[in-house]
Amino acid sequence: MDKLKINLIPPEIKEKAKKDAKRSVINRASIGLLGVLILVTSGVLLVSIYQSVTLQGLNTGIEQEKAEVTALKEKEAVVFFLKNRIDSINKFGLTQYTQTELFSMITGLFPEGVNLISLQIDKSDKVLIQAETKVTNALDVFFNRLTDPTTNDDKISSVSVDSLSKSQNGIIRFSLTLNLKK
Amino acid sequence: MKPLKELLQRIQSQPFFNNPLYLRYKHLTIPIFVLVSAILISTLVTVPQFFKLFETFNKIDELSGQKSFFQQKKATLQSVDVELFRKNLDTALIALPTDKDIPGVTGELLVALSGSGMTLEGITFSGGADESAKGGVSEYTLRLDISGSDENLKSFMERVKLSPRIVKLVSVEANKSKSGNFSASVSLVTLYQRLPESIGTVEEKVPDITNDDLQTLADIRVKADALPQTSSVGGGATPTGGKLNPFAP
Repeated sequence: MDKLKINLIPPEIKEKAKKDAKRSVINRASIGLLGVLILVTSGVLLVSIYQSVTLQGLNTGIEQEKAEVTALKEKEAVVFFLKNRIDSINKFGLTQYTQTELFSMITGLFPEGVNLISLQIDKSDKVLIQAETKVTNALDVFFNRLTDPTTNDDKISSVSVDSLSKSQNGIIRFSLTLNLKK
Repeated sequence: MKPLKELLQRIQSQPFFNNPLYLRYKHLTIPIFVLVSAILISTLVTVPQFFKLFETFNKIDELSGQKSFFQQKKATLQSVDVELFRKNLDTALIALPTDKDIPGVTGELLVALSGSGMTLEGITFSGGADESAKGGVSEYTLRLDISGSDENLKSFMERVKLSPRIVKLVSVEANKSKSGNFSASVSLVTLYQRLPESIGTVEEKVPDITNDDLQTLADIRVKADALPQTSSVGGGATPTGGKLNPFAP
């Protein structure tokens, strides 16, 4: 024989019980979420506190290191002065021989038989030479050397003859202007 | 428990709690409270602190870098041999002294002159350029009126190049006289630089002395050491002793 089930609970009470259960779930979930948020916030605050402590430690450490470095100021000064001086020497020393090299190069171009009478080198890009020779070939060699980039270290851009004269005793005198490359 | 119950009853007897609107939405009290609290906590604490974390991490990184920089600087300075560096500084000051040191440069040029066989006819000093234009480096000009053969003149130029002091040739004007000798007017510029008045702040790096720098110092030292070997003979028309090139064996 089948069992007969009779629910005597009024439907409005059942409805209310359902609603209460739903509200209870919502309340629990809300409180749970608040708990999670508080947990996360606490974590963030803890990390923040840890960072503050670390920062403080670092600042103290830096101050201490600074004080120790300042105590070594005398050594730093010697190194600084030395470096400053070497830098200046390198900067001005490397460019110091331009005119000297020019002098050596030009005097080295004179062939046998060509005698220098006067030479003028200055800061300008011109060099004045006055010389004499008895040998025409030597003069030719001299001009070739002056104009050949391989022998003039590619420093002379052009050579202009200001004067050329031959005296009765066969001596050829000439004045040249060497135009230097900039 | 009894006073608490009484308190609750007194609170619940307040008109607000009997308000129909309240009674209708009473079940939402806790979720609304949670929502408001969550919004307040998030906006006032969690989110700002969270973003600040990254900023602070960066600052910690920066400060850690600074600390290790100072530690490194301290270690570098502690390893500095002051005596050696002072000696090196003295060597560098030979090439670029702190003042004009006219006797020093004149002595070097006289050694070069006597070594080359040139004869000194006259010497003139004149002022130099504004030091601020060259990073504190000042210069002055020495004009030498000298005479000798063309070979002597070449030798003199080479010897000037080997001077430990920075001496730059500015101009040379050479004329052959009837006797066959050259009269030359040589203008040279020499430099000097005052020591810096400050060495910068503690945050600045210790300057690094490179191998090239040490080589520069070694070159100066070799040139300076070569100087005493050159004997000075007055009025010498013939080249005297002294190695022309101290680097040569």
